Amino acid sequence: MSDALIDLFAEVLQVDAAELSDDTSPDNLRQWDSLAAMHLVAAIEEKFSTRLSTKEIMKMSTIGLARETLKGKDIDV
Amino acid sequence: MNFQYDSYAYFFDLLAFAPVLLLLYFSTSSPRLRRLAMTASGMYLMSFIAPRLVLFYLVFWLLVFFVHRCAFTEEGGRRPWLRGARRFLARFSIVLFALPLLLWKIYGNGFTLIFTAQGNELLSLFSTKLWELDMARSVVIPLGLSFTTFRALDLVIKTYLGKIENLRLDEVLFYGFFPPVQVFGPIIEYEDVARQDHNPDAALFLYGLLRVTGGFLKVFVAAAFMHPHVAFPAAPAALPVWVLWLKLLGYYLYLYLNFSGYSDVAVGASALFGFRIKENFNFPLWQTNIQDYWNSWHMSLTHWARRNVYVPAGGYRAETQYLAIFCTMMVIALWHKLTPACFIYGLYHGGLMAGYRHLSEARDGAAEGKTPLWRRPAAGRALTYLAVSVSLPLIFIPESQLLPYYAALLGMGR
Repeated sequence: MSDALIDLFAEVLQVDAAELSDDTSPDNLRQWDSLAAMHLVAAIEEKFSTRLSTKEIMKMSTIGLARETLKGKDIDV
Repeated sequence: MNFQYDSYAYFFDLLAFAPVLLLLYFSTSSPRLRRLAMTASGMYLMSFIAPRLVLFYLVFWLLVFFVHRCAFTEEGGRRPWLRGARRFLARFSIVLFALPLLLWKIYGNGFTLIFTAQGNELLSLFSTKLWELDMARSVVIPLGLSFTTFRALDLVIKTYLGKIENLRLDEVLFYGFFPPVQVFGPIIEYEDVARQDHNPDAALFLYGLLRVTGGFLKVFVAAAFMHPHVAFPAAPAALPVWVLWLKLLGYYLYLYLNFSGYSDVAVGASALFGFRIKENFNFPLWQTNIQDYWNSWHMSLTHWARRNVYVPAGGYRAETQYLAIFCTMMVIALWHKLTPACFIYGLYHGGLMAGYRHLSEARDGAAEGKTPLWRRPAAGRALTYLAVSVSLPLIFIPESQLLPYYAALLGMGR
Protein backbone atom coordinates (compact mmCIF):
# COMPACT_ATOMS: atom_id res chain seq x y z
CA MET A 1 0.00 0.00 0.00
CA SER A 2 1.32 3.43 -0.89
CA ASP A 3 2.40 5.70 1.94
CA ALA A 4 2.41 9.38 1.03
CA LEU A 5 5.03 10.32 3.61
CA ILE A 6 7.40 7.46 2.77
CA ASP A 7 7.00 8.24 -0.94
CA LEU A 8 7.85 11.87 -0.30
CA PHE A 9 10.96 10.95 1.71
CA ALA A 10 11.99 8.47 -1.00
CA GLU A 11 11.62 11.09 -3.68
CA VAL A 12 13.58 13.80 -1.85
CA LEU A 13 16.28 11.45 -0.53
CA GLN A 14 16.45 9.65 -3.87
CA VAL A 15 16.22 6.17 -2.37
CA ASP A 16 13.88 3.25 -2.93
CA ALA A 17 10.75 3.56 -0.77
CA ALA A 18 11.25 -0.06 0.29
CA GLU A 19 14.45 0.99 2.10
CA LEU A 20 12.53 3.38 4.32
CA SER A 21 10.46 2.79 7.42
CA ASP A 22 9.23 4.79 10.38
CA ASP A 23 12.54 4.05 12.12
CA THR A 24 14.63 5.63 9.36
CA SER A 25 16.66 8.59 10.63
CA PRO A 26 19.74 10.60 9.65
CA ASP A 27 21.71 8.20 11.86
CA ASN A 28 20.91 5.16 9.72
CA LEU A 29 20.46 6.66 6.25
CA ARG A 30 23.46 8.39 4.75
CA GLN A 31 21.39 10.25 2.15
CA TRP A 32 19.49 12.05 4.92
CA ASP A 33 22.14 14.70 5.43
CA SER A 34 21.57 18.30 6.47
CA LEU A 35 21.06 19.52 2.89
CA ALA A 36 18.52 16.77 2.20
CA ALA A 37 16.81 17.57 5.52
CA MET A 38 16.34 21.16 4.38
CA HIS A 39 14.76 19.96 1.13
CA LEU A 40 12.59 17.55 3.14
CA VAL A 41 11.19 20.32 5.32
CA ALA A 42 10.34 22.39 2.24
CA ALA A 43 8.79 19.38 0.48
CA ILE A 44 6.66 18.42 3.51
CA GLU A 45 5.42 21.98 3.92
CA GLU A 46 4.54 22.21 0.24
CA LYS A 47 2.89 18.81 -0.09
CA PHE A 48 0.81 19.08 3.09
CA SER A 49 0.24 22.84 2.85
CA THR A 50 1.50 23.54 6.33
CA ARG A 51 4.18 25.49 8.11
CA LEU A 52 6.45 23.68 10.55
CA SER A 53 7.76 25.43 13.65
CA THR A 54 11.36 25.03 14.80
CA LYS A 55 10.17 22.82 17.67
CA GLU A 56 8.28 20.57 15.25
CA ILE A 57 11.29 20.33 12.96
CA MET A 58 13.47 19.40 15.94
CA LYS A 59 11.03 16.63 16.83
CA MET A 60 11.11 15.08 13.37
CA SER A 61 14.28 13.04 13.82
CA THR A 62 12.78 9.88 12.28
CA ILE A 63 10.12 9.31 9.65
CA GLY A 64 7.88 7.96 12.40
CA LEU A 65 8.29 11.13 14.45
CA ALA A 66 7.62 13.21 11.34
CA ARG A 67 4.40 11.26 10.87
CA GLU A 68 3.45 11.79 14.52
CA THR A 69 4.17 15.52 14.26
CA LEU A 70 2.05 15.88 11.12
CA LYS A 71 -0.77 13.90 12.68
CA GLY A 72 -0.59 16.32 15.61
CA LYS A 73 -1.36 19.05 13.10
CA ASP A 74 -4.43 17.12 11.90
CA ILE A 75 -2.71 16.09 8.69
CA ASP A 76 -3.66 12.61 7.55
CA VAL A 77 -0.45 10.74 6.75
CA MET B 1 50.02 24.98 36.49
CA ASN B 2 48.85 21.80 34.84
CA PHE B 3 45.76 20.22 36.32
CA GLN B 4 45.30 17.72 33.52
CA TYR B 5 44.39 14.21 34.56
CA ASP B 6 46.21 11.24 33.10
CA SER B 7 43.41 9.88 30.96
CA TYR B 8 44.99 6.44 30.80
CA ALA B 9 44.34 5.96 34.50
CA TYR B 10 40.55 6.05 34.24
CA PHE B 11 40.47 3.40 31.55
CA PHE B 12 42.84 1.15 33.43
CA ASP B 13 40.65 1.53 36.52
CA LEU B 14 37.61 0.72 34.38
CA LEU B 15 39.33 -2.30 32.90
CA ALA B 16 40.51 -3.55 36.30
CA PHE B 17 37.05 -3.06 37.79
CA ALA B 18 35.17 -4.52 34.80
CA PRO B 19 35.12 -8.16 36.02
CA VAL B 20 33.53 -7.10 39.34
CA LEU B 21 31.07 -4.84 37.56
CA LEU B 22 30.14 -7.53 35.04
CA LEU B 23 29.55 -9.97 37.87
CA LEU B 24 27.44 -7.46 39.77
CA TYR B 25 25.48 -6.44 36.70
CA PHE B 26 24.66 -9.91 35.44
CA SER B 27 24.00 -11.38 38.88
CA THR B 28 20.51 -9.91 38.61
CA SER B 29 18.00 -9.55 35.80
CA SER B 30 16.23 -6.67 37.52
CA PRO B 31 16.76 -3.46 35.51
CA ARG B 32 16.47 -1.46 38.71
CA LEU B 33 19.26 -3.38 40.45
CA ARG B 34 21.36 -3.27 37.31
CA ARG B 35 21.00 0.49 37.16
CA LEU B 36 21.97 0.69 40.80
CA ALA B 37 25.07 -1.47 40.25
CA MET B 38 26.16 0.55 37.24
CA THR B 39 25.52 3.93 38.85
CA ALA B 40 27.35 2.96 42.04
CA SER B 41 30.26 1.68 39.95
CA GLY B 42 30.38 4.90 37.95
CA MET B 43 30.55 6.87 41.19
CA TYR B 44 33.15 4.53 42.65
CA LEU B 45 35.40 4.86 39.59
CA MET B 46 35.01 8.61 39.60
CA SER B 47 35.89 8.75 43.29
CA PHE B 48 39.32 7.35 42.37
CA ILE B 49 39.92 10.59 40.50
CA ALA B 50 38.48 12.69 43.33
CA PRO B 51 35.41 12.27 45.58
CA ARG B 52 34.50 15.94 45.02
CA LEU B 53 33.63 15.02 41.42
CA VAL B 54 31.08 12.48 42.63
CA LEU B 55 29.42 15.06 44.85
CA PHE B 56 29.34 17.64 42.07
CA TYR B 57 27.92 15.28 39.46
CA LEU B 58 25.40 13.86 41.89
CA VAL B 59 24.00 17.33 42.56
CA PHE B 60 24.18 18.10 38.82
CA TRP B 61 22.15 15.02 37.82
CA LEU B 62 19.67 15.53 40.67
CA LEU B 63 18.99 18.96 39.21
CA VAL B 64 18.66 17.43 35.73
CA PHE B 65 16.16 14.96 37.15
CA PHE B 66 14.19 17.75 38.80
CA VAL B 67 14.08 19.76 35.57
CA HIS B 68 13.16 16.65 33.58
CA ARG B 69 10.28 15.74 35.85
CA CYS B 70 9.01 19.09 37.01
CA ALA B 71 10.06 22.04 34.90
CA PHE B 72 8.21 21.32 31.67
CA THR B 73 4.95 20.16 33.16
CA GLU B 74 1.91 22.40 33.05
CA GLU B 75 0.79 21.22 36.45
CA GLY B 76 1.58 23.60 39.23
CA GLY B 77 -0.82 22.81 41.99
CA ARG B 78 -2.16 25.69 44.00
CA ARG B 79 1.15 27.22 44.85
CA PRO B 80 2.01 30.07 42.45
CA TRP B 81 5.65 30.20 43.61
CA LEU B 82 6.08 26.59 42.54
CA ARG B 83 4.62 27.29 39.12
CA GLY B 84 6.91 30.30 38.88
CA ALA B 85 9.96 28.25 39.90
CA ARG B 86 9.10 25.62 37.31
CA ARG B 87 8.71 28.18 34.55
CA PHE B 88 12.00 29.77 35.57
CA LEU B 89 13.79 26.42 35.52
CA ALA B 90 12.29 25.46 32.16
CA ARG B 91 13.42 28.71 30.60
CA PHE B 92 16.86 28.83 32.13
CA SER B 93 17.73 25.17 32.45
CA ILE B 94 19.93 25.29 29.34
CA VAL B 95 21.96 28.13 30.85
CA LEU B 96 21.94 26.47 34.26
CA PHE B 97 23.43 23.21 33.00
CA ALA B 98 25.87 24.87 30.62
CA LEU B 99 27.09 27.31 33.28
CA PRO B 100 29.76 25.14 34.98
CA LEU B 101 31.25 24.27 31.59
CA LEU B 102 31.24 27.91 30.50
CA LEU B 103 32.83 29.05 33.76
CA TRP B 104 35.52 26.41 33.40
CA LYS B 105 36.22 27.36 29.79
CA ILE B 106 36.36 31.07 30.68
CA TYR B 107 38.31 30.95 33.93
CA GLY B 108 40.37 27.77 33.39
CA ASN B 109 42.72 27.10 36.29
CA GLY B 110 40.98 29.68 38.50
CA PHE B 111 37.75 27.74 38.19
CA THR B 112 39.53 24.44 38.81
CA LEU B 113 41.07 25.75 42.03
CA ILE B 114 37.78 27.16 43.34
CA PHE B 115 35.95 23.99 42.27
CA THR B 116 38.51 21.89 44.16
CA ALA B 117 38.48 24.01 47.32
CA GLN B 118 34.71 24.36 47.49
CA GLY B 119 34.10 20.72 46.60
CA ASN B 120 36.49 19.63 49.29
CA GLU B 121 34.88 21.89 51.87
CA LEU B 122 31.40 20.68 50.99
CA LEU B 123 32.51 17.08 51.38
CA SER B 124 33.58 17.82 54.94
CA LEU B 125 29.91 18.53 55.73
CA PHE B 126 29.01 14.97 54.79
CA SER B 127 31.93 12.83 55.88
CA THR B 128 35.34 13.40 57.39
CA LYS B 129 36.59 10.23 55.72
CA LEU B 130 35.55 11.46 52.27
CA TRP B 131 37.05 14.87 53.02
CA GLU B 132 40.37 13.21 53.91
CA LEU B 133 40.27 11.09 50.79
CA ASP B 134 39.56 14.12 48.67
CA MET B 135 42.36 16.10 50.29
CA ALA B 136 44.76 13.35 49.26
CA ARG B 137 43.71 13.64 45.60
CA SER B 138 45.30 16.02 43.15
CA VAL B 139 43.80 19.25 41.96
CA VAL B 140 42.31 18.18 38.64
CA ILE B 141 40.09 19.75 36.03
CA PRO B 142 36.39 18.84 36.39
CA LEU B 143 36.83 15.71 34.36
CA GLY B 144 33.98 14.68 32.10
CA LEU B 145 32.24 18.04 32.45
CA SER B 146 31.92 18.63 28.68
CA PHE B 147 30.41 15.23 28.00
CA THR B 148 28.18 15.44 31.06
CA THR B 149 26.93 18.87 30.02
CA PHE B 150 26.11 17.70 26.50
CA ARG B 151 24.33 14.59 27.77
CA ALA B 152 22.33 16.64 30.25
CA LEU B 153 21.36 19.29 27.70
CA ASP B 154 20.31 16.59 25.26
CA LEU B 155 18.03 15.05 27.88
CA VAL B 156 16.54 18.40 28.85
CA ILE B 157 15.92 19.39 25.22
CA LYS B 158 14.32 16.02 24.47
CA THR B 159 12.13 16.52 27.51
CA TYR B 160 11.10 19.92 26.17
CA LEU B 161 10.31 18.34 22.81
CA GLY B 162 8.28 15.62 24.49
CA LYS B 163 10.54 12.85 23.17
CA ILE B 164 11.51 11.56 26.62
CA GLU B 165 9.12 11.64 29.53
CA ASN B 166 8.84 10.59 33.15
CA LEU B 167 12.21 9.00 33.75
CA ARG B 168 12.82 7.72 37.25
CA LEU B 169 15.65 9.10 39.35
CA ASP B 170 17.68 5.89 39.05
CA GLU B 171 17.30 6.00 35.25
CA VAL B 172 18.65 9.56 35.09
CA LEU B 173 21.55 8.72 37.43
CA PHE B 174 22.32 5.60 35.39
CA TYR B 175 22.54 7.74 32.26
CA GLY B 176 24.67 10.29 34.10
CA PHE B 177 27.16 7.87 35.65
CA PHE B 178 27.32 5.25 32.85
CA PRO B 179 30.98 4.24 33.40
CA PRO B 180 32.19 3.56 29.84
CA VAL B 181 31.44 7.12 28.68
CA GLN B 182 31.25 9.32 31.75
CA VAL B 183 34.74 10.75 31.54
CA PHE B 184 35.83 10.71 27.90
CA GLY B 185 32.63 10.30 25.90
CA PRO B 186 31.31 9.65 23.35
CA ILE B 187 28.21 11.74 24.02
CA ILE B 188 25.55 9.07 24.26
CA GLU B 189 21.82 9.76 24.00
CA TYR B 190 19.46 8.44 26.64
CA GLU B 191 17.87 6.11 24.08
CA ASP B 192 21.24 4.37 23.64
CA VAL B 193 21.12 3.00 27.18
CA ALA B 194 17.39 3.08 27.84
CA ARG B 195 16.99 -0.69 28.16
CA GLN B 196 18.85 -2.52 30.87
CA ASP B 197 16.89 -5.77 30.69
CA HIS B 198 18.80 -7.51 27.94
CA ASN B 199 22.06 -9.43 28.00
CA PRO B 200 24.70 -9.46 25.29
CA ASP B 201 24.83 -12.63 23.23
CA ALA B 202 28.21 -14.33 22.78
CA ALA B 203 28.85 -12.49 19.51
CA LEU B 204 28.21 -9.07 21.05
CA PHE B 205 30.33 -9.90 24.09
CA LEU B 206 33.21 -11.04 21.87
CA TYR B 207 32.75 -7.96 19.72
CA GLY B 208 32.99 -5.86 22.87
CA LEU B 209 36.21 -7.57 23.93
CA LEU B 210 37.72 -7.08 20.48
CA ARG B 211 36.77 -3.39 20.40
CA VAL B 212 38.26 -2.82 23.86
CA THR B 213 41.46 -4.63 22.85
CA GLY B 214 41.63 -2.80 19.53
CA GLY B 215 41.05 0.51 21.28
CA PHE B 216 43.84 -0.09 23.77
CA LEU B 217 46.19 -1.11 20.94
CA LYS B 218 45.34 2.05 19.04
CA VAL B 219 45.96 4.29 22.06
CA PHE B 220 48.83 2.57 23.82
CA VAL B 221 50.72 1.11 20.89
CA ALA B 222 50.03 2.97 17.66
CA ALA B 223 49.30 6.46 18.99
CA ALA B 224 51.88 6.23 21.77
CA PHE B 225 54.50 5.20 19.22
CA MET B 226 53.56 8.01 16.84
CA HIS B 227 53.33 10.83 19.35
CA PRO B 228 57.03 11.66 19.77
CA HIS B 229 57.46 11.68 16.00
CA VAL B 230 54.53 13.93 15.15
CA ALA B 231 54.24 16.23 18.19
CA PHE B 232 54.33 19.91 17.31
CA PRO B 233 57.96 21.05 17.62
CA ALA B 234 58.97 23.72 20.12
CA ALA B 235 61.24 25.37 17.56
CA PRO B 236 59.58 24.82 14.17
CA ALA B 237 61.91 27.19 12.31
CA ALA B 238 64.81 24.86 13.08
CA LEU B 239 63.26 22.05 11.03
CA PRO B 240 63.07 21.68 7.25
CA VAL B 241 59.69 22.65 5.80
CA TRP B 242 58.98 19.16 4.46
CA VAL B 243 59.55 17.67 7.93
CA LEU B 244 57.09 20.15 9.44
CA TRP B 245 54.47 19.20 6.86
CA LEU B 246 55.07 15.51 7.41
CA LYS B 247 54.69 15.96 11.15
CA LEU B 248 51.51 17.98 10.69
CA LEU B 249 49.93 15.37 8.40
CA GLY B 250 51.05 12.64 10.81
CA TYR B 251 49.58 14.51 13.77
CA TYR B 252 46.12 14.19 12.25
CA LEU B 253 46.59 10.42 11.99
CA TYR B 254 47.91 10.30 15.57
CA LEU B 255 44.93 12.29 16.80
CA TYR B 256 42.54 9.93 15.06
CA LEU B 257 44.22 6.83 16.50
CA ASN B 258 44.28 8.26 20.00
CA PHE B 259 40.76 9.67 20.11
CA SER B 260 39.06 6.87 18.20
CA GLY B 261 40.95 4.36 20.37
CA TYR B 262 39.30 5.75 23.49
CA SER B 263 35.95 5.68 21.70
CA ASP B 264 36.56 2.05 20.71
CA VAL B 265 37.14 1.20 24.37
CA ALA B 266 33.88 2.96 25.31
CA VAL B 267 31.91 1.27 22.52
CA GLY B 268 33.44 -2.10 23.41
CA ALA B 269 32.94 -1.74 27.16
CA SER B 270 29.29 -0.81 26.55
CA ALA B 271 28.85 -3.90 24.34
CA LEU B 272 30.08 -6.11 27.19
CA PHE B 273 26.99 -5.02 29.11
CA GLY B 274 24.71 -5.46 26.11
CA PHE B 275 24.57 -1.83 24.95
CA ARG B 276 25.18 -0.89 21.35
CA ILE B 277 26.09 2.77 21.65
CA LYS B 278 26.58 4.72 18.44
CA GLU B 279 29.95 4.88 16.76
CA ASN B 280 31.99 8.04 17.21
CA PHE B 281 34.13 7.74 14.07
CA ASN B 282 33.51 6.45 10.58
CA PHE B 283 36.82 6.53 8.68
CA PRO B 284 37.12 10.34 8.83
CA LEU B 285 40.57 10.31 7.23
CA TRP B 286 39.11 8.64 4.16
CA GLN B 287 36.34 11.14 3.45
CA THR B 288 36.22 12.99 0.16
CA ASN B 289 34.79 16.32 1.33
CA ILE B 290 34.56 18.47 4.42
CA GLN B 291 30.88 17.73 5.03
CA ASP B 292 31.51 13.99 5.07
CA TYR B 293 34.50 14.60 7.32
CA TRP B 294 32.31 16.33 9.90
CA ASN B 295 29.75 13.57 9.52
CA SER B 296 32.38 11.00 10.40
CA TRP B 297 34.66 12.68 12.99
CA HIS B 298 33.56 12.76 16.64
CA MET B 299 30.08 11.96 15.35
CA SER B 300 28.48 12.00 18.77
CA LEU B 301 29.42 15.69 19.08
CA THR B 302 28.49 16.65 15.52
CA HIS B 303 25.16 14.82 15.76
CA TRP B 304 24.51 16.51 19.10
CA ALA B 305 25.33 19.87 17.53
CA ARG B 306 23.10 19.13 14.53
CA ARG B 307 20.14 18.28 16.76
CA ASN B 308 20.58 21.01 19.31
CA VAL B 309 22.30 23.91 17.53
CA TYR B 310 22.04 23.54 13.76
CA VAL B 311 18.31 22.79 13.58
CA PRO B 312 17.16 25.41 16.11
CA ALA B 313 19.45 27.96 14.46
CA GLY B 314 17.50 27.49 11.23
CA GLY B 315 19.69 24.97 9.42
CA TYR B 316 16.71 23.37 7.73
CA ARG B 317 15.56 26.65 6.20
CA ALA B 318 17.16 27.88 2.98
CA GLU B 319 17.31 31.48 4.19
CA THR B 320 19.11 30.72 7.47
CA GLN B 321 21.14 27.62 6.62
CA TYR B 322 24.49 29.41 6.34
CA LEU B 323 24.02 31.22 9.63
CA ALA B 324 23.19 27.85 11.22
CA ILE B 325 26.35 26.30 9.75
CA PHE B 326 28.51 29.03 11.30
CA CYS B 327 26.71 28.83 14.66
CA THR B 328 27.19 25.06 14.75
CA MET B 329 30.85 25.13 13.79
CA MET B 330 31.46 27.87 16.33
CA VAL B 331 29.93 25.80 19.14
CA ILE B 332 32.06 22.80 18.12
CA ALA B 333 35.17 24.99 17.90
CA LEU B 334 34.66 26.84 21.18
CA TRP B 335 33.88 23.58 22.93
CA HIS B 336 37.61 22.86 22.63
CA LYS B 337 38.70 26.16 24.15
CA LEU B 338 37.32 29.68 24.44
CA THR B 339 40.23 31.31 22.65
CA PRO B 340 40.64 33.55 19.58
CA ALA B 341 42.46 30.66 17.85
CA CYS B 342 39.47 28.37 18.34
CA PHE B 343 37.22 31.18 17.11
CA ILE B 344 39.31 31.25 13.93
CA TYR B 345 39.05 27.44 13.77
CA GLY B 346 35.26 27.77 13.89
CA LEU B 347 35.22 30.45 11.21
CA TYR B 348 37.56 28.38 9.04
CA HIS B 349 35.50 25.19 9.23
CA GLY B 350 32.25 27.16 9.02
CA GLY B 351 33.59 28.76 5.86
CA LEU B 352 34.61 25.40 4.41
CA MET B 353 31.24 23.86 5.21
CA ALA B 354 29.33 26.85 3.83
CA GLY B 355 31.48 26.85 0.70
CA TYR B 356 30.94 23.15 0.18
CA ARG B 357 27.19 23.54 0.74
CA HIS B 358 27.07 26.37 -1.81
CA LEU B 359 28.98 24.31 -4.39
CA SER B 360 26.79 21.26 -3.73
CA GLU B 361 23.63 23.26 -4.29
CA ALA B 362 25.04 24.84 -7.43
CA ARG B 363 26.02 21.41 -8.72
CA ASP B 364 22.58 19.96 -7.92
CA GLY B 365 21.02 22.65 -10.07
CA ALA B 366 23.52 22.33 -12.93
CA ALA B 367 23.41 20.00 -15.91
CA GLU B 368 25.46 16.79 -15.81
CA GLY B 369 28.95 17.40 -17.12
CA LYS B 370 32.54 16.49 -16.61
CA THR B 371 33.44 15.98 -12.94
CA PRO B 372 35.81 18.72 -11.81
CA LEU B 373 39.15 17.61 -10.41
CA TRP B 374 38.34 18.62 -6.82
CA ARG B 375 35.27 16.38 -6.82
CA ARG B 376 37.14 13.23 -7.83
CA PRO B 377 37.53 10.88 -4.85
CA ALA B 378 41.32 10.80 -4.68
CA ALA B 379 41.67 14.57 -5.00
CA GLY B 380 38.79 15.08 -2.56
CA ARG B 381 40.41 12.83 0.02
CA ALA B 382 43.75 14.57 -0.27
CA LEU B 383 42.23 18.03 -0.10
CA THR B 384 40.02 17.14 2.85
CA TYR B 385 42.94 15.57 4.72
CA LEU B 386 45.02 18.68 4.08
CA ALA B 387 42.23 21.11 4.97
CA VAL B 388 41.64 19.40 8.31
CA SER B 389 45.35 18.99 9.12
CA VAL B 390 46.23 22.66 8.66
CA SER B 391 43.52 23.68 11.13
CA LEU B 392 44.71 21.42 13.96
CA PRO B 393 47.46 23.74 15.26
CA LEU B 394 44.74 26.29 16.07
CA ILE B 395 43.54 23.93 18.76
CA PHE B 396 46.66 22.14 19.86
CA ILE B 397 49.40 24.79 19.81
CA PRO B 398 49.60 27.59 22.41
CA GLU B 399 48.43 30.84 20.82
CA SER B 400 51.76 32.59 21.33
CA GLN B 401 53.44 29.97 19.12
CA LEU B 402 50.86 29.90 16.35
CA LEU B 403 52.23 32.62 14.08
CA PRO B 404 55.84 31.35 14.21
CA TYR B 405 54.56 27.84 13.53
CA TYR B 406 52.47 28.76 10.48
CA ALA B 407 55.29 31.01 9.22
CA ALA B 408 57.74 28.11 9.50
CA LEU B 409 55.27 25.86 7.71
CA LEU B 410 55.34 28.31 4.80
CA GLY B 411 59.14 28.46 4.89
CA MET B 412 59.23 31.94 6.40
CA GLY B 413 60.85 33.35 9.55
CA ARG B 414 64.02 31.31 9.29
